[in-house]
Amino acid sequence: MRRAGWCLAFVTCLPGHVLGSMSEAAAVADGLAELPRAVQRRLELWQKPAGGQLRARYRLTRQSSLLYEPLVVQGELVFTAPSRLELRDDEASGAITTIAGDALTIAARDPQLARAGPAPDSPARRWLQGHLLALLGADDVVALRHATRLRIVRGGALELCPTPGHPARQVIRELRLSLDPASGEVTELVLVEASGDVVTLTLSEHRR
Amino acid sequence: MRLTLRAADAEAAWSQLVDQLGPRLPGHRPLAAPPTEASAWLDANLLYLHGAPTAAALAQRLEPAALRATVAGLRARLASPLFAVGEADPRHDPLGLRPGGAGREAGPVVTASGDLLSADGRTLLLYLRTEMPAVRLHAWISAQLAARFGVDSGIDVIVLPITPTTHGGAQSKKAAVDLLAAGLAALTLVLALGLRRVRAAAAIVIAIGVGLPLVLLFAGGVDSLGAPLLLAIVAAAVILAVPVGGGGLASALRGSAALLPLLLLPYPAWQRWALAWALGLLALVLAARRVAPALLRLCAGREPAPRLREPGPPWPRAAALAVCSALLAGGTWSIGHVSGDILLEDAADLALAEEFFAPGRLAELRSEGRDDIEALTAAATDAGVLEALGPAVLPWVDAPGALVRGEAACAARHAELAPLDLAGRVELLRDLLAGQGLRADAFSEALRALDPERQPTPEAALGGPLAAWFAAALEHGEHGVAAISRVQLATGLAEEQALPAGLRGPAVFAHEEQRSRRARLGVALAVGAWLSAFLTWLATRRLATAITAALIGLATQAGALMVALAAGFTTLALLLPPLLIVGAMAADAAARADRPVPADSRPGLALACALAPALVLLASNEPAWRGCGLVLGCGAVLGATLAARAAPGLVALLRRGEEGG
Repeated sequence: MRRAGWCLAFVTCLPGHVLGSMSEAAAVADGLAELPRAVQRRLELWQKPAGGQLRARYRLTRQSSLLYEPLVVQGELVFTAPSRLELRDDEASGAITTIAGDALTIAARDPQLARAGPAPDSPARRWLQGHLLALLGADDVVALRHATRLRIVRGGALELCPTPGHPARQVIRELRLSLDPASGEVTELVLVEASGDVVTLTLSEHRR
Repeated sequence: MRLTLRAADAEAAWSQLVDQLGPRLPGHRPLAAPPTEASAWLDANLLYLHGAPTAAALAQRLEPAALRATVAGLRARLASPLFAVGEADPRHDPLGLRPGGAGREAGPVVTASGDLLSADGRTLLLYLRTEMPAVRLHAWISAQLAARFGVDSGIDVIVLPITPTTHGGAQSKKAAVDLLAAGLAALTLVLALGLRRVRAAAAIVIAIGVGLPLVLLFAGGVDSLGAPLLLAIVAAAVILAVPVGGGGLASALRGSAALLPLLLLPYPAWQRWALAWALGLLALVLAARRVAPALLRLCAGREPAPRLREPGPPWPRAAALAVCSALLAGGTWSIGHVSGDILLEDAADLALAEEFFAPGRLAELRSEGRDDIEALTAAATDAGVLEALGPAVLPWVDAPGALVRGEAACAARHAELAPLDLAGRVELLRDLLAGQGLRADAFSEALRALDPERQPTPEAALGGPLAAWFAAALEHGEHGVAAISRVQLATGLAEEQALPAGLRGPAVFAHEEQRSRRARLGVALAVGAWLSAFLTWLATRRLATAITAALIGLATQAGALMVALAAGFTTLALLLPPLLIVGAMAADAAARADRPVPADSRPGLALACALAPALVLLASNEPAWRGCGLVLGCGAVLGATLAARAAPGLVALLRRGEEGG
């Protein structure tokens, strides 16, 4: 009877130990290890299965020293995993922002207006573009952590900053995101630029 | 000097250090213009600098309709969350007039003190011009990091000294001494086995070893490029010693003239070695012939027993001619595959090239004048030439002249801009900006830049925000001032790509070499063959023998060149000296082939003595030495075979032709 009891305890502990090791290995593999627990919890809420498409409505507010009044536009966001994103403003005076792979294009919606070509390559562009895609893709922690310091700021938002010394800091100060506590979808993105501009992108009506 | 952020505990100080460390170090020179000041200068003078739109294009851009569309487009694009990274800062250039960096590859960024930071932000490159030894400089920088920035660990500091040869230093000298010791040991062993007399072998090697300092004196020291030649000269002296290869004064002269064709080429190191080889070999042969027998008598050693061995039967004349012709044809074809690349890059250079640029590919252009103003005016003209080459040829340009224009050029441009009514257009632009809800005052810098009276003349530059950077780019000498422009040359440039005449640097020299490599190789080999033929004719007074010697020498060089190219050793500058040596030695053997073999000659031992150092070189871990060893080894075998088997047939053939003529 005693031997059977030992065997029962052993076979109960063994799967527990194996499962524990596997979850630890998965955390390391996902790049969650070494992060503060609060950040890990946010990222676990944020992570979703890879692939698919995300559609959402957005409202963008830009506060800038260039403008007398904050600029407010609304539109539709379409993200197709892994690397295509389009933000199309509803207003004819707005813009269409397209990321396709490594290329970024920002064009006015009105075809009569001056049209800018593809954005020049720069560390800041690569950082912001890469992190926007990673945030909406919601599956690649390693891409999200690349050249980035993550922390939870007051209000519970997750803050992403380019690492110290990174050239992207010359343009981007921080990127804050808020998540839906139930679905884990990104509900608000706040981009603070080095020039002082603050861009708030509020997402709603997510369809994934 | 290269600093790399390694550990997270130094991250806090890193961003501060990146911008502030450079000016605290001795001899600090900016690698590029500080970005904030450069941006302010460019914005203030964008109507005048290189790449500014022409007057016609500017007039078109400032049409009311075009201005309206530009402002509305700017307002629309502000609605994008990625506007900040999508285009240049609109505060400074809302009309997009500044010449863009389109086509330039994204690479390192410039820090506030003009140093370069790698694209991932973890490696900082600083340029220090100081005589301070690398070890002391390293200690100095570590002390600065600890004292000023509170960093004790977490940052790797690597000092990369810029020396005339990238392979210099104590380690290189030690390797050269090791190579020489191994070569001498191999030669002693081969001689002892071949002569069956240990003391006789030791006497020859000691006599030659005693003469070596003289060769070092002629060559001005030994570096990693000269070490194989030092070993080859020892082997050549042993071969020309009496009990080995024999031969008289003519043989010694033919051997010592081997590298003289290098005097015609623009490689200072090889030119020095051409003379060192000639004088050194004569001295070593003299030592081997005079000192070695005396040494042997002193230590009561026995003279090596004379051994006469007949060479194998010569090949038929037709076969000899066919083999030599085939080798010469193959050699001619091989010349087209020789590389003119002379840049030797080590691991540190390659690591630097990955993040910034290859140090060997930097080039300088000096624009000279009597004073600062004249030098900068000349630099402005040169900057136009550099700009015209484009980023495909010059991926990185740091030219003070790109940020100034001469008085005359400014006056001409001012006259072009006068009819455009820029003041009126600025007022219209203000109204349009306000109409779109944009604050015109936020664009005040850009609007002020449309004032044609603001001109980037050298005087204005030396009193402007970039004055310190301009001053660092000016070098004052006895005869005037030179403005230094630095560029990086792209790799794999087309041979026909012309470069500005004043551009100097290893990569520019390598490019010129690439264009003229075939001519250089052809001239050196032809002159070497002619010298061998002439010296042979002087000794024998027989034209057939002289021509045969030259032909055998050329055929040997052709065969060795083909083997070296097949093995992947293609660098002309490294192949040339061993090729000339094997050619001269083969020609010497061929010149003596039509005479009876002297009693004191051992052709087999001579071949073994040539092969021993070649094998030592082949066994080394230096690619340049291995290539040299391969050429020396293959050349020795091929030269001995051709001289023994093909030369008699060729001599007979030529004599028959001579008599027939």
